[in-house]
Amino acid sequence: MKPGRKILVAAVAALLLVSLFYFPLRRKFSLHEGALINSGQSKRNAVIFFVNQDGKIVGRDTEIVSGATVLDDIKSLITQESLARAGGLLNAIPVGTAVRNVFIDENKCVYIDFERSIIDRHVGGTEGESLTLEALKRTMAENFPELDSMKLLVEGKELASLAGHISTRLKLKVK
Amino acid sequence: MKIKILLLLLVPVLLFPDHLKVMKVIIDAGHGGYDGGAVSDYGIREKDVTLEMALLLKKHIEGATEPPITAILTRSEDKFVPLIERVGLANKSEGDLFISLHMNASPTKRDSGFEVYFYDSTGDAETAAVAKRENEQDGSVENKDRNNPLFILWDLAQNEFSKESSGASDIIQSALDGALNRNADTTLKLRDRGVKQANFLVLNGMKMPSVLLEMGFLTNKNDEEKFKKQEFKERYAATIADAVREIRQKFDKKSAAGR
Ligand SMILES: [Zn+2]
Repeated sequence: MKPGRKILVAAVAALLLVSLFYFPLRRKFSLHEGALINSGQSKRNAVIFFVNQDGKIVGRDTEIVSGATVLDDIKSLITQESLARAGGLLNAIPVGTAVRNVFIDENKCVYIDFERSIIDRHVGGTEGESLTLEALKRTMAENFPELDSMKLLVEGKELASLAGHISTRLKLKVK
Repeated sequence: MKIKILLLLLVPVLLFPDHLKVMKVIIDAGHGGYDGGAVSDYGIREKDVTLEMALLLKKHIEGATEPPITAILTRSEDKFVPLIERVGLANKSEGDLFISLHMNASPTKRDSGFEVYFYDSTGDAETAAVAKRENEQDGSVENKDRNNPLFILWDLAQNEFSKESSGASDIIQSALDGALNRNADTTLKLRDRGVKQANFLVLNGMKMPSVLLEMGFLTNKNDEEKFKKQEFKERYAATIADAVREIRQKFDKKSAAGR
C-alpha cells in the first residue's frame, strides 16, 4: 500500500470511529429538533390569551398558518397577543411587544427573547406582571403541551422581572 | 471551655427576654429614581406614592409605642436602590419584619383595591426542583446539592419564614379590611383583594418575616383619587402601624411560648 493511501485509510477509520461516538449524541438532538419541524405549510388552530374588563385572563380561538417550525408558531401567537383587540378585550402582553427569537432546550424549556418593548410598554404593578406571565404560560400550555417550562429574555439577556416585582430569573413552570 | 462560652452567650438572652426587645421594622418604598414604577392616567407615579406612604408609616410606627419600634427605610428620597441592596440592607440591619410598599397596575381600569403578598417560589421550575430535593433529604448541609446555583438556595431563605410572613400578611389584611374595605365612609372605602403569594425579587433571600403590600391601583380612578387625599393616606399608614403592633404581640407570644 502506498503511504498516501495508508494515511487515507487511517483517516477514514478515524472518522468512522469518531462518528460512532458522535452520532448517537447528534441523533438525540436531531430527533428533538425533528419534533419541532412542522410538516408542510398548514393551518393550525390555536388559543391566544387576553384580559377581560374584569381583569381575568380569557382565551380566544385563532388560526395560524404554521411556519417552518414550532418556534415560528410560538412567535406568531405571541405577536397576535400583542396586537390591540376590539370587543372589550385588553392585552396581557403589552401592545407592540416584539419577539426577537424563540428557542427550546433539551429540557423542554422554551426561551422567549423579547425586544425591550415588553418592559418599556408594560403597565407595571404586581397584577400587571401576573397577567402577562399567566397569559404567556397558558399560551404555551394550551398550544404546546410538550413544553415543561419557559424562560423570558430581553435582548438576549436574562430578565430579572418585567416591572420590578415578580422574579423571572429562573425557568417558570408552564404546567 | 465551649460550655463557658455558650453560657456567656446566653446571659443577654436571660437578662433581656424577647418581649422587651426593640422591634425593628424595615419599610421599603417600592421603585425610585429612574424606576418610576406604575403611572396613573393623570401622571401620579408609584415611586412618589410609595415614598410618601413609607415616611408616613415610619411616623406612625415610631410614635407612642412602648417598648419602641424602630423603623428603617430602604430609601428616604427619590433615588434608585437596586432590589438586591434593599435585601442586603434589611438583612444587615437584622430587621424583625420587612414591609415593601407598592402601588398596583392592571390593563383594566376596573381592577381596584389592596392586596397583601408573601413569598412563594413554587412557580419556578428550578427552585421547585431544588426545594423538593432539599425536602427529600434530611436537611443537613452535607446532604444538600452543592451544585445548585447559589441564588436558588438564596431564594429558599425566605421560605424559612413563610409561616410568620403568612401570619403577618393576615394581620395587615385584616386591619386594612376593617379600616378601609368595611368602612361606610366612601372617602376611605377601598376594596380588599385578600392575601396572595408570589415570587417577589425583593423578598428573595430576605431573612425575616416579610410582606409586600400593593396598596391600591394607580390605574383605577377611584383608588388614585384616594391617594391624593392626606386624610386617607394618614389613616392608611396608621392602620398598617396598628397591624405592626399586633404582629409584634403575636411574635412575642410565640417566642415566649418557645422559651
Ligand atoms: Zn411596584
